[in-house]
Amino acid sequence: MKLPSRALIVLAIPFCVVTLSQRANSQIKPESKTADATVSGKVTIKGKPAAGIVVGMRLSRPDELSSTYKARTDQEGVYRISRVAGGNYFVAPVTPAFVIADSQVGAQGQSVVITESENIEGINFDLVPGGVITGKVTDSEGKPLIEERVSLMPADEGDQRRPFYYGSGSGMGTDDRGVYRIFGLPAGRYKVSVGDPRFNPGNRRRATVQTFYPDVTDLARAGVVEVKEGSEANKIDITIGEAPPGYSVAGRVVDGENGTPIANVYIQLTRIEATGSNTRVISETVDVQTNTQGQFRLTNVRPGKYDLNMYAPDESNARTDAPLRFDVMDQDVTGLLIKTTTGATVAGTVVFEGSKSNPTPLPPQMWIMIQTRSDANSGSGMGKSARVRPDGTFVAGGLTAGIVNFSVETMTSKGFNLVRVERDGVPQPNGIQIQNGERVSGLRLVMTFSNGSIRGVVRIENGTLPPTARINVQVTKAGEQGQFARGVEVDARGHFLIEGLAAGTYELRAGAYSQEMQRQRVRPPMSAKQIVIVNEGAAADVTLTLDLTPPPNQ
Amino acid sequence: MKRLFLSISCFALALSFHAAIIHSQSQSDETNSDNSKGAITGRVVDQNGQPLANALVNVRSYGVNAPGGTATTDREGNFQVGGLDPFAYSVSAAMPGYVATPRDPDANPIGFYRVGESARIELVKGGVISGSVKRANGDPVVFVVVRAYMIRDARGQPRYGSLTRLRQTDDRGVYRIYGLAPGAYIVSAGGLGNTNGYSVDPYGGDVPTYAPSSPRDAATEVSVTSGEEVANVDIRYREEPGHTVSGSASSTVANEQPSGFNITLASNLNGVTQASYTFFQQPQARGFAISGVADGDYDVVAQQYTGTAGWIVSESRRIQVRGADVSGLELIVKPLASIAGSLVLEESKLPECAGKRRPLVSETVIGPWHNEKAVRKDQPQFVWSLGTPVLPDKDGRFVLGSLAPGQYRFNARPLAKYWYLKSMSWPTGATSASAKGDAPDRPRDAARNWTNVRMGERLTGLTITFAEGAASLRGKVEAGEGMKLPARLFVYLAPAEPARAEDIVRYFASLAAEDGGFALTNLPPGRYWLTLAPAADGDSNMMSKLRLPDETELRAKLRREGEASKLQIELKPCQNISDYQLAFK
Repeated sequence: MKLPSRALIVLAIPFCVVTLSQRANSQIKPESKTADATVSGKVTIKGKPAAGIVVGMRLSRPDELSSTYKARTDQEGVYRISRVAGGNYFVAPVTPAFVIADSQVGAQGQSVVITESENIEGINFDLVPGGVITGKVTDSEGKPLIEERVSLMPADEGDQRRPFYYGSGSGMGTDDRGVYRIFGLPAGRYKVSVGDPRFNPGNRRRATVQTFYPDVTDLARAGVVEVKEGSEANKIDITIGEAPPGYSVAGRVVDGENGTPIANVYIQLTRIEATGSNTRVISETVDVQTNTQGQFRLTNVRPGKYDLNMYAPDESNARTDAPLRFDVMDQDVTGLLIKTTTGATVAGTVVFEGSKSNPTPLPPQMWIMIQTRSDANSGSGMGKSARVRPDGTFVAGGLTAGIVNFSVETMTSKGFNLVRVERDGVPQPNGIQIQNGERVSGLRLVMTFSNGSIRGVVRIENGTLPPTARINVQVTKAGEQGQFARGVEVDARGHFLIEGLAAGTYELRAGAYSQEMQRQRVRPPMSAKQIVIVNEGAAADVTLTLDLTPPPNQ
Repeated sequence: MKRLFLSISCFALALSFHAAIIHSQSQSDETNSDNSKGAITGRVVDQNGQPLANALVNVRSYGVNAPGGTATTDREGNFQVGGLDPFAYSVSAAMPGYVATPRDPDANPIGFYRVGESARIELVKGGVISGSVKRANGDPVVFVVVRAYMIRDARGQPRYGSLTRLRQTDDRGVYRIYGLAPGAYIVSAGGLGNTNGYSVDPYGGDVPTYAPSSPRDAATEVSVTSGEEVANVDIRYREEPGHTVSGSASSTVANEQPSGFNITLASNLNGVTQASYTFFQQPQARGFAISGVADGDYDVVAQQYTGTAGWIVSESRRIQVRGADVSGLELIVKPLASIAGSLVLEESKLPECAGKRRPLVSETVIGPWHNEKAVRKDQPQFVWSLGTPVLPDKDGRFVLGSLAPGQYRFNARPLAKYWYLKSMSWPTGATSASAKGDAPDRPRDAARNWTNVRMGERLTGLTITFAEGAASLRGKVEAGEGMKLPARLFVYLAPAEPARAEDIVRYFASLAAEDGGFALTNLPPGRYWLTLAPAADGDSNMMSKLRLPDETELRAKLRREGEASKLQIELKPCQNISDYQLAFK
């Protein structure tokens, strides 16, 4: 198997935790817990009891073999899921044609933290019928477009939902007549389009231009489709526009110092679209590599403004300072020159330290995530990932100078922890300083499998949070800087559970976030830091207090 | 991981639908010139010959590490894939909602392309099955998976219920499954859930309900024709809980990149495989669990793709689900058998054959054909598609891999006008490389006899010989006074020399065109009986049938008829006869 493109992996760093765990498999599962908790509640449709509704429950960070639970509501709309093991769960009614009334934006369920033998009641859901948008997609000759993805985007600027699409998985696109039917939509105002480049596979059959209902290519002129609760907006037909002719884009990647060609690096295009004050950045996935002469050629690129990036294999030490920006006007673009600079390389081995509870299992697949910050106080930095080879070694080149911090992602949901990074046998709790062109080898990334946990409650004092607010608890290892923090969401009852922690001292902090607060630029309320000591195989209990008293300066 | 799995299933699909093709020979056979890089061009059309734009064309080489290529057809349906090394390539085309017309092996016997050739690929609009899924009280069942399984193809041949398409119902309980190849289908809703921790499938644990509202043994067959919709195939959903089949698959082959396992569960109804479905066991996962299985008999088999050994599979396990879960199945995948051999070219010293083009070893497709009559009933059908045709290396060596246990013969054909297939043979006394003395000798003549292949065996020494000096015979069949030519009329050649009566590679069949034209090519020089006969109903691929080891009687009949008609022809080396007249009486 070829790893998709380096580009995808690097760009996906912020989401990696999610995507990897979504695909994860577990080898070790501490199933020693007693599965004797219960969760119950009531499902209503517009306030009336709903019978025969399946309510499903899965882990918040599930893996292939983790348990799921389901129960059906009785005549009173009451469901009861029993024999549940403790953990972080996500509970939701499985009703694709309905939406949860007054739900937080995007959330179609509730997170519930369950501890052993707990009897949790009142996880209730009130549903309303979702709306429907349906129509037909044709080309300029009136022929139906089959298996075309239809995407929706909230029409109003205040609506913070991301665009989403309909049509993936088991062939859910337009059908053989070009007809699509999107159901279970929350009421709202939408812009409907086909040919959204974000949602098209790299291997596109045809050059299309994103076309919005009603047959316009300019987002600003797109019509607004209003969906009301339980109603159907039909005849939302779209005739896809003729794609403007595409042009080829060719160039070379060379070493900026000595001009030697750089072979086998991936080329990625990002399209920059400016409409008024809004700039949209759209990654156009292409699977093009440079040849032995460092040359590359992309075909069928439509006119517009682009950024060109290159992504080198793990071992390569080539990097670029900034993407190359260029315009495609009305002819082929040739002679683009990307000059690389020499980055730093880190290399080493991932090793496991066994413990009594676990005889050093090796997760099947691991990736190293590397973050470089320009200095110790910088909050953000450059990210890169590298695959760990089956023998545990890794190499990551092309890094920018600065302070490097590591995390290791495994395809296992929990329990594997990077406990320390050693350079020449000396632990490096605050990261490693690297210079341009430097090669740091012999690093040891020491992992353990641990099953310590922290369970706790967040209490709110001196106020109430807006209904859309979410509370997060961040956990970091005490006394280490620049490491990747772990966060968990607090459930509706204020409970949280952090599992798979190595023994040690941790700092915990709770914060509340909502889009309203973000818009009003209100500083999110944070709890005081709390120190918690975790022992192997044991749960530490903690209470965090979120004081909502407005700060005096506001 | 996901990507690998997808590409594998696409490949399997490509194997099951061969494109209809017409060859146009662009190379001259009269001179000996080598091929260099070039292109395969062609056109994609619908059943009315109208061009299809935006079809995705896939050009792939056989079993060698040569990049093929893809192309999208233009407004006139034309495509070109360039930069191809001189190998043999398969050419297929895909377009949503369309299906490939299966290749007619009698009209288009070759089925692959060389660089410089042109392909015409026909796609037809697929058929549609639509309907609704509702509960007994009339409520729609929303977002339930509806599956269509092909039972028989358009020619009535069994297709063993391989899953063809699936689709989920909408908010009204309505489903629409399109892009179906013509044939007979059964349709089911719900069941067969792949238990995982990511999502809760409310219907995955139910037994599948087959249209109209029954278990598998009472399912109604739906007949689908090209471009037509069969509406109102409604399902009354039964909501009965099914059972879970679980276990684990493991591998005997070390794989650096863990690739997971495909677990196929095939229901076996009255000894015939029906409604098979494939699940995926993630790499390094401890096992698999398939929920929503109805009572009945099933064959379960695991397969895995490995970089070194190709496809490896487990033994098929027969299980009986009778009112309870089945757990603890252990499926161990092992390498399949392989046959190594070489292709030998024998040149002619005759002056009339001087300076002719040699066949390129790299263009010679060598394929294994299993004995369909001797297949084990519990062997899932897909195992026969794992052992794919290959191309020899520059020295003529080839390895046919991923062969399921069974009986095999071999297919090879020189793509040069003046060359013919002379023999396929095993060395005297050849035995299996992995057997410990108890293996029977291989048959000397591998064309006339089946070669037995056992699980995991590695056979070596198969020699396929092409010789120079082939003749060709072209002409026309004329209908007798007041007669019409039958629809599928074949011209047969059978060896006339008694010593060559059972030399299988000297039997030929050619389907006469509508105007009576026929062409028999790559013929070994010698004397032949010529006969004419229409094919029986449903009989196809006559040349292949004629050369089946078991068809001794069919061959004897051709010789007897030839002797009776006294219609004999002698073909000299490198002779081309082009206007031979045959009368159909």
